[in-house]
Amino acid sequence: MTGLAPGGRKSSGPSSGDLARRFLVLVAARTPAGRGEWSQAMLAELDQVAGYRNRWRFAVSAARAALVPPDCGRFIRFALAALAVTAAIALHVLVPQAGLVLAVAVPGLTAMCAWIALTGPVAAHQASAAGRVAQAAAAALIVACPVLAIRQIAEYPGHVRGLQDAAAVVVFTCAELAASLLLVLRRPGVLGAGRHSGLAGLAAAVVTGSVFLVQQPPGGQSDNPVVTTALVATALCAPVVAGVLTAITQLAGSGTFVPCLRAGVSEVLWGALLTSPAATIAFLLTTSHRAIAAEAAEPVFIAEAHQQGAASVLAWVAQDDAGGALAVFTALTLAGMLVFLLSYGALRLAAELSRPAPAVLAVGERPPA
Amino acid sequence: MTRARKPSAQTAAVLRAFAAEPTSWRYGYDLVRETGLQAGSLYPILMRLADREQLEARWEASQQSGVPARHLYRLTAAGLALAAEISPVPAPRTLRAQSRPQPGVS
Repeated sequence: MTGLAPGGRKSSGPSSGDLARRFLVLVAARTPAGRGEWSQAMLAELDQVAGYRNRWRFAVSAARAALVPPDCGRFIRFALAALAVTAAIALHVLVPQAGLVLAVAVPGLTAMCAWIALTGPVAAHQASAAGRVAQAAAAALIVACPVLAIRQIAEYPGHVRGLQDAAAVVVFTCAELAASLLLVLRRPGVLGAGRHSGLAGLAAAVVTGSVFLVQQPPGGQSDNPVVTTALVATALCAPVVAGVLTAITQLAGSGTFVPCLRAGVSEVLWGALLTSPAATIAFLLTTSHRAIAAEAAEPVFIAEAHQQGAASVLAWVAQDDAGGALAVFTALTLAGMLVFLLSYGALRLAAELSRPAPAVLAVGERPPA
Repeated sequence: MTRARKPSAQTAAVLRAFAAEPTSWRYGYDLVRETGLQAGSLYPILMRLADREQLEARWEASQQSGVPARHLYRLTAAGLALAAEISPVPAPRTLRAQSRPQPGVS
């Protein structure tokens, strides 16, 4: 070996500011068990690639190969992409009230969640007993979602335009919940699941649900839309609160800021996975009851709902469009998860890039399998 | 394990690249440039071939100090048989093989 790369470029090894290499190192650490050797091989090859753009192109492409199992990744990717496109067309045709953006976003985000759950490496740590309780509770809530949604539609059949609307909404809601269930049970490592992940989110959900029931007992009606809006905001913010509490708790114990912030964002994500379906159910049932009553008694209420951006879901229901309302709920849940996921990924990446460059393997040393 | 279906065009391209120099150990980035495939396409193919024992891999033995060891690949007899199945093996590129520095192996 002459020390020259095959292309004739002298290989100088990674520089301290080599972000492409750091990125690939970060991904290599998340490679599924048994593929570690391949990640190290790709890292070594990256050192032979010249040029900023070429190095990033190689690193990003290699990252995909490192994270996705080769035997199932392609099939799952194509199958989910085909399903998402088909579902988007079906949703746009069957529930045109949902709009084109929602018709594309809902199946697309659902497919993305399913892809992460099916092809991503699982979490490095086994769930603790408390974490398993949170998992089980989340799974139960998710399974309860379609049951309660169907019950809601059956209770107010006059508020569904037709069987096509109802069937499409139920199918899409079930698909979204199935993706959410996969994420909760599989605990993909890319989402940063820790041993106790979801516990704080579950506690937040229980508190929010309790407040919700006290303020809005089943069958009860409130004439104060501000109270409902505040409760909904609380339900949607519960994961964030859980994340902040987690970060503060860890910060008090360790005093290191970045890992605590990372743990907090991780908890936000898992809290969202746990509370979003529950919030969806409670919000749907309550607002439907109230909107239906308001429509019969006071048409002005419907106009007010139209004027309030935060009450746009209520407007859907008030327009006798339960299908549109469900589509909005579904999109809200998935969009929230996407935001949390992207925030978490950006934070992890920033934390890894800010670390000192990892040492390269010594001559002849074998990377860990 | 015997492959039941026809290899994809990308897998065939990788097999042809190996079969052109059947005794040579090849680098991953070498194959990326020769086949035109992205790393994200090439490495899953290499993994699959290795899982089916159609490809053998080794870590480079001699290397510059401070430079990570590189992985080397070569088709096994089963891999060469698969390559021969998909297309006639092209004539070995002797000139190129001679000019290329041969990597040491452990």
